Amino acid sequence: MIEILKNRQIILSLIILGGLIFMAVFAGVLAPYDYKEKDLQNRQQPPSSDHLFGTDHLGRDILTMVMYGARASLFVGFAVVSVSLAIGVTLGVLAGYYGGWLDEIIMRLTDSFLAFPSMFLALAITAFLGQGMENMMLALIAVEWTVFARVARGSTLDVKTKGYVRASRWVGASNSYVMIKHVLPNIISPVLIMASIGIGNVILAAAGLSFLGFGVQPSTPEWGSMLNAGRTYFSTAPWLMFFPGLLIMMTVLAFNYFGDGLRDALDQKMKNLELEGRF
Amino acid sequence: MLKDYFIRRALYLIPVLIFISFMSFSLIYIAPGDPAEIMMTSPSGGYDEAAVEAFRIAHGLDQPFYIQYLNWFKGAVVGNFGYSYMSEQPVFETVLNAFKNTLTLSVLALVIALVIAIPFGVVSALKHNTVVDDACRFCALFGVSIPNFWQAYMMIILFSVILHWLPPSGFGHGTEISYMILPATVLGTGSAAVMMRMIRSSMLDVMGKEYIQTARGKGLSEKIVIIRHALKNALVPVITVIGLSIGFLLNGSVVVETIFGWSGIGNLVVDSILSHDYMMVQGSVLFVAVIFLLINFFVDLVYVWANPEIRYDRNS
Repeated sequence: MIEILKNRQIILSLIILGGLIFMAVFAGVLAPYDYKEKDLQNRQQPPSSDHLFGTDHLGRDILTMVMYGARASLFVGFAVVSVSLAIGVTLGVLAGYYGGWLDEIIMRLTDSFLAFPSMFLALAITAFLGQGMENMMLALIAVEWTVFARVARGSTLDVKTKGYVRASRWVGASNSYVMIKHVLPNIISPVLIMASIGIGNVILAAAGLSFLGFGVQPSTPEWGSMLNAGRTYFSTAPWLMFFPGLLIMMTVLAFNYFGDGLRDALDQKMKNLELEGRF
Repeated sequence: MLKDYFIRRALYLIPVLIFISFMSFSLIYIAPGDPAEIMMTSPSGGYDEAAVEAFRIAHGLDQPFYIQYLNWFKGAVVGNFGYSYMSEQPVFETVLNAFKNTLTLSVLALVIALVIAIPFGVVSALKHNTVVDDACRFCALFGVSIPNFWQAYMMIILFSVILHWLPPSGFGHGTEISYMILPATVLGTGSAAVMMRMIRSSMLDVMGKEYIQTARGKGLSEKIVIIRHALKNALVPVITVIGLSIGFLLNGSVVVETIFGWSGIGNLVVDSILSHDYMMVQGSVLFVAVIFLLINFFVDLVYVWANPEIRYDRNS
């Protein structure tokens, strides 16, 4: 643990992520304006001392909206990855531990979900379920769980051959005891790395879906839907798109940078292991 | 041995193909509302009961779910994905034409990606653990973190609005390079970042191998060692990354084609969703999934064939 905190890359990304989470939680106190406040006299104002990031087509302050927008984006990222992790790790550990027909079924199911390019699957599910944040999150979970299932299964197969696991089973420990006490703690590192990269990817995909108009609706401040609203005015008021996009990039970069640093710090063996996300 | 492996892998495809066809088809049933009513509803909100019934019968929507699925599946196997609700055109032809346009753009994007990724990946590996390596790796992380829709607009603002070098969007006849440069660059830079990381780690791996020491020991110049021996071998795992990049490019096509008005499969899916053309959405999604599955299948085979020592089941 102390080793991890010595890593400069991890420290730097944690500071940035901490700042973003702080901004999201305290948006109500920190933001200079009310995000619902329309000021039709001051529409599409370029950045100035009154409005650091300018104003949008309804005269709302962009800085304020970007701060509130962090709430939606971070919430979607954490929630989707938590649920996907729970589903994926459960299925992956069961498949890896028991093997046989259970493994076959779970892995063919995973392969089937992986066969769809993620954006098409997420888009199709969101589109058919209907637009909106909850449906978008369901669609993203349908895409994201496979990553954790594969990583968990691979790591479980690895742990299963270790002496202490075999010894534990030999002295009569139950399967569930072995899975919880021995397998889970040993697969946690790759799962955590994938979770960090996964949050970044999910935020990016969610912003993409909202940008296309299928995710979060424009009434809620969210970075992707802000970009969607700014599209119409991109040549006359580029700041409408510039700042929300910049925040998406910073956030995703921080999660990726954190995951990358974690990979280096947690395990030397994993240094050259390329764990790729789904999006 | 190798043949057995290939046959086993091919057999794995069958349940997956059946399952993805079922998933694509079921999508329509998770949608709230009756597609026939949605299609026949006039802009004022009302619909004619007789017209809805006629639409149902014309598109087989009056039959039970499993009959509809089996009919659709039987057609899909021979390349008949049904007819569009909107244009009444065969879905398969429309999807195929759109896919050809996506392919044109993807090939250009792939070239751009390789041109960026190979030199940076090699330099990063050779300068392993130096500032240069750190900078290259950071750029790669940066590349995968940029939202492609944002990058697209920033490039349009710079190259079309400010500099007037390139058209902001458009399709032309589908062959003019001026319309392709911006979208292909947006798609290509993202994949370049993914590829660069892969080339770097694969190059690092190869540089530690015995035959590199042998080549050096023979007194060959470092340049020849790197190009002839290291890079050639390091590019083998990169075949798999091209498979990965196809996924990346297809995913990117949804947003990028929509922004640039490129008549590819991503644009087709978005348009079909907006116009409730469910047959077209089902067909496009299934088509893309099958193509993606087959590309990954062949990439896997080539990878195993090129690496005789790796004869393992890549799922385990």
